[in-house]
Amino acid sequence: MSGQQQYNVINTPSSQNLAELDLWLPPQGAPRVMVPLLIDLRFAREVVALPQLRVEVAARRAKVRLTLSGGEVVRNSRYGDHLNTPYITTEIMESARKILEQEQEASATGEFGIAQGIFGRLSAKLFAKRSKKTAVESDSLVKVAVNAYRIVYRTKDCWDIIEPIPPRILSGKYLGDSYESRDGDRMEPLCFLTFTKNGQTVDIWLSVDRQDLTFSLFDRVKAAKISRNREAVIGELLRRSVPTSAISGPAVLPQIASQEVLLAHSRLEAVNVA
Amino acid sequence: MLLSDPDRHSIDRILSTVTDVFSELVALTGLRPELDFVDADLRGVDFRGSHLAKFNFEYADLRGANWADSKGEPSHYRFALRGSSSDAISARDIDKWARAAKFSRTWSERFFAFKCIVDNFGENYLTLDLLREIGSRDKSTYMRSASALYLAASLYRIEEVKSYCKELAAGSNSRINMFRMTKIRRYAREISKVVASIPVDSKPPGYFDPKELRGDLERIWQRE
Repeated sequence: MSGQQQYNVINTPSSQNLAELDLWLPPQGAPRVMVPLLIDLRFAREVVALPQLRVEVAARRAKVRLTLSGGEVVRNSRYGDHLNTPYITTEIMESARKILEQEQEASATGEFGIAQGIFGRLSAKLFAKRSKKTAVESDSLVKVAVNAYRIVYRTKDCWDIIEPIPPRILSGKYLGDSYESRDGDRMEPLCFLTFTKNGQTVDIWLSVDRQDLTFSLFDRVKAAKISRNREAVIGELLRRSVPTSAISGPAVLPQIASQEVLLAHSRLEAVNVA
Repeated sequence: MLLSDPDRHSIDRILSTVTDVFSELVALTGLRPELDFVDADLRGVDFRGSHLAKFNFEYADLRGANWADSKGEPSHYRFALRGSSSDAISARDIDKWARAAKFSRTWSERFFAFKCIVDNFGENYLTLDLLREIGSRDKSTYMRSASALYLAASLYRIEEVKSYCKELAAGSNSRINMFRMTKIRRYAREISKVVASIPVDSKPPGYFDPKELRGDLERIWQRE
């Protein structure tokens, strides 16, 4: 068996530059009952030049899905399949002093908005002893501890890719990080698979919901950013003109929702495992 | 290239026109107000002068939009995001958040889910109806009180009261909250006294009359 290739990998060409999905061959000699699914997943903004406009397309959320034809996912091997802890810890969120300061500042600059007088009256009524309260509550220091995951396993072999940091645009590498181990650098697999027969395959699909695409527009003729109203209307036009699939070839994701856009596809096939 | 043959003529028309009125721009494109703005990303759009009666904004993201001087109410908007926050949530997640606000295990989890709905969906009949449901079914006095007060404080942008509700929830069932409740009740009493006389204008469509909150607030402080 040694030297004989056990698996085939196909990375279907894609016509878009928004995201890149690379599937790698499992390491030589990987046992067929614990085959690591090694993928790299990167996102970037795609720049599209139209006659009058430069359009920057970005994604806020994406989905990675597996469809298996034979073979199985090894239990508890799915990346991002976080076990909920039996308790949560929540800490206080903001400092009361900060809030008061903000309010005083807003009041001074007239930023309370349309009903400033009314809010002023209400605030005065509520916070008649404001100066005293400021002193008392300024000590309540605050922060909140929340876990925000970038990769979250959902159900049915589907992962969500999310960027929790504002402006919440997917950018950079999200899957395929290497980590140091005793044996040297290794890759973090999306999951481990078990193959029992030749010809069994696993397809990996990367898709994005149309609503999770953002469009930033720049007027190339006037060399200026266009108004938000124009941007929103053109954005809706563009959103509707995005084709359902950006991959070439006959690969079709079964049960794709009408709002989804297929960005990339890869396939791993067991050819010599039995 | 991700885009394929966008309607170039429509784009040219939008870029060359003088008007910046939203409904007039839409009319230039052939987009259908009744269908094409469901789920749309309309954050920060200025609706001044726009005729909105035909627009269906269901599940659209309308956070930060300017509604002043818009003409007519959109035909559908109940589940649109109209709040002041910019959390990375989708309007389609409303069921998930509403379930969390009603059925999470601890009252602080339920409160923070409710807060997320108010912050992102705004102060309107969607959030008021949810508050009523919480008021009728939730067994936690803290939850009922903090939710009603948070909605009222959010309506009037009283940041200190909002912050205090969050502190109460962050403390969950700690004994300190027994003392914090006194202050919560005082806030509720003060706001309920003035709530009927303070109009809230220039708000997104679907905003409820603040008087409707008076009963919810009175129930908090009358339990003293």
